[in-house]
Amino acid sequence: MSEKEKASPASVRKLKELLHIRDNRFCADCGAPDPKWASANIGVFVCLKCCAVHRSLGTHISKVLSVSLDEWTEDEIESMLEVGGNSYANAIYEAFLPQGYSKPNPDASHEERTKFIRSKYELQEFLKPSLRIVSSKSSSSSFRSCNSGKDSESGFDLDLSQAGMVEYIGILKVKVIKGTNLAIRDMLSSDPYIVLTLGKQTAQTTVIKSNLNPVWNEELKLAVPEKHGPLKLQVFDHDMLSKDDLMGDAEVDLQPMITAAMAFGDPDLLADMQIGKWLQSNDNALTKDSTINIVDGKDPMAYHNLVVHYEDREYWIDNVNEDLYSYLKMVADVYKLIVMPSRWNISDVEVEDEVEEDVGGDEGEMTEENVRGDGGGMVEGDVGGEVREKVEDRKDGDVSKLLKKIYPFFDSDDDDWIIEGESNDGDGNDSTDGDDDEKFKDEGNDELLSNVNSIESVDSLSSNDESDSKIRKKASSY
Amino acid sequence: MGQAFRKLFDAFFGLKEMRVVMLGLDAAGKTTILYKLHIGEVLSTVPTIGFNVEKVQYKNVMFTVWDVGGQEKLRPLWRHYFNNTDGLIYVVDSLDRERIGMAKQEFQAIIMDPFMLDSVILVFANKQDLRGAMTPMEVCEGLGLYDLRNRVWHIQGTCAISGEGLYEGLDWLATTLKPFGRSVSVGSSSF
Repeated sequence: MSEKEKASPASVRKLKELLHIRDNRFCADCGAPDPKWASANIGVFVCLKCCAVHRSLGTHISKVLSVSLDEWTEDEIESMLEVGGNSYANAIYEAFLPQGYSKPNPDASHEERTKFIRSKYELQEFLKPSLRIVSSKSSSSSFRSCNSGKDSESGFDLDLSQAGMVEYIGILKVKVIKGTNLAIRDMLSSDPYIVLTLGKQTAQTTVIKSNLNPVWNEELKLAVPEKHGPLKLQVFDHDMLSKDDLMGDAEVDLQPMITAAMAFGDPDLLADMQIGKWLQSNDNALTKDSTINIVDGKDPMAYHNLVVHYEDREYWIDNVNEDLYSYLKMVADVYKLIVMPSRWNISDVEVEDEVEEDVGGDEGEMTEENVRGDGGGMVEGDVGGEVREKVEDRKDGDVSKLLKKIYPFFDSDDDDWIIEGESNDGDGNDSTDGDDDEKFKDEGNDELLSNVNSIESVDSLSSNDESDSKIRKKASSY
Repeated sequence: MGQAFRKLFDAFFGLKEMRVVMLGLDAAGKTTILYKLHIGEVLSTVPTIGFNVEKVQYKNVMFTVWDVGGQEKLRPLWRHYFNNTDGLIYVVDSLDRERIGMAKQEFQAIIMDPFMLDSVILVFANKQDLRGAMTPMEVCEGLGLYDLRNRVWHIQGTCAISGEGLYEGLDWLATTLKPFGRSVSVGSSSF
């Protein structure tokens, strides 16, 4: 009876023809010959083993049909024809396959396949960043972790499953230059490093041993998700044996920059100009008004060279031990922001941030000089490579609200899962697990700490590339 | 000798046998459920072309569960498994709202089959772990269970991967079986 019309023989023939063109003679995911299964919504032909993984993703991600054993509807065939087969689909889904990344081969294990196929279609990690779109609510891919512990080998572990799809609106680049006169956390000195946190992502600088005036000159990159909170800056003291000590922190509101970038979406219309102002207030860490400028950037990665330029920014950093040090001060100098072609309506954000820190000084006292003194050190060029990270900002806060909306019984204690027919002996078993939402929330902090502990101290002036790849590794590790 | 001993043992403890056929649309989770029940693990399953059959003991009932492939062109074969069946487990992918209509159509065709008129009906609303899944209540409506007359049925929300709900379902089958149940020794099963 199904509401949709069954495909006509002519359409079925077209589908078979599509299957027989050369590109489709091999599985889109592992390359095994003669795939007989297809994902009707994605538009790829896959082998039996990959089809098993596709089926486990759920029909909201991949609607698997057998070319020979299933009846196709007109719509389904049409969407297959529209995509045009494996090579066209892969041109999209594997557009940004990292260099050196090896796809699973036909003999790959189920785990290997699962990892790749999830990355490719569910998390859409290899898609052009600007094309990644948030899946609609009903088709949101996240799993409720009914099984977090023991089944993690089957690829359903919490991290992965919570990742979901997140829209990136750009890349944030922060250049950490140096700190001055930092707090003492060890006997006589500290081993400081900076941690930047945006949503669930973190990036950190290397540790500089026994130095209260460390120079990093490191560029950190973070992807900016759609629902980004403020950028959190934290200064830590690295300890070999114990937990690292927090030396101070601050929050940077990215909204003015993002708003400016969105509002001035078409770079062709703009020359160097000031487009906004960011005023110092009590609820931001800025110590001084700042301007937002567009300048011409020379970033090879950018499609258009719109740069939003933040000038002369300083941050108050709340020190942990108020009695010892009242403030840490940071100065951020340049923000660069590059907007992608406006037809995507999504912008790539590039930020260069010159950061300096100071302790205990008066607000207006030191900044000008420091900035000027350091201006020469600014690097304009791009270090290259792209950071793509799984952002898990859906986990926090509103998740339980969302769940409640979707699962009316999410935290209710009655036996909604069970409806009895005639034989009613009331053997209801409550299967909802109320403690799930706690898991959502705890994740982030633990991750952060473990990351922090895993970093060894490295020479202060390691090259940008080196530190970059380190960051990338770390970022992608969760 | 051993066989006789076992018969005696079974008779003493009243081990019953129940033949169950597990059906549902493709990718509903039938095979995953079968092996979760049988060996307690989540296997990575490929689409079932044909059938799987395993014995699952729960309490004093030995279930012989037939899991038959759900691809459209395999569905006409389902009826070959109907004969002598005590129970139907119908598995529904609760996330697949689009095909609940098709699920209903197949479901109604099964239970109206002359061979299936006496069998009890257990519906697993599977994949409850996924966000946006239909509640068992919705699945119930979707399949038209409320309109059934003179049938014994039960719907159970399940998550095959974690195993939630599966044994509750079997529990229901086991208790429901009793009035109809016949005590059979294990050795004489007919398949």
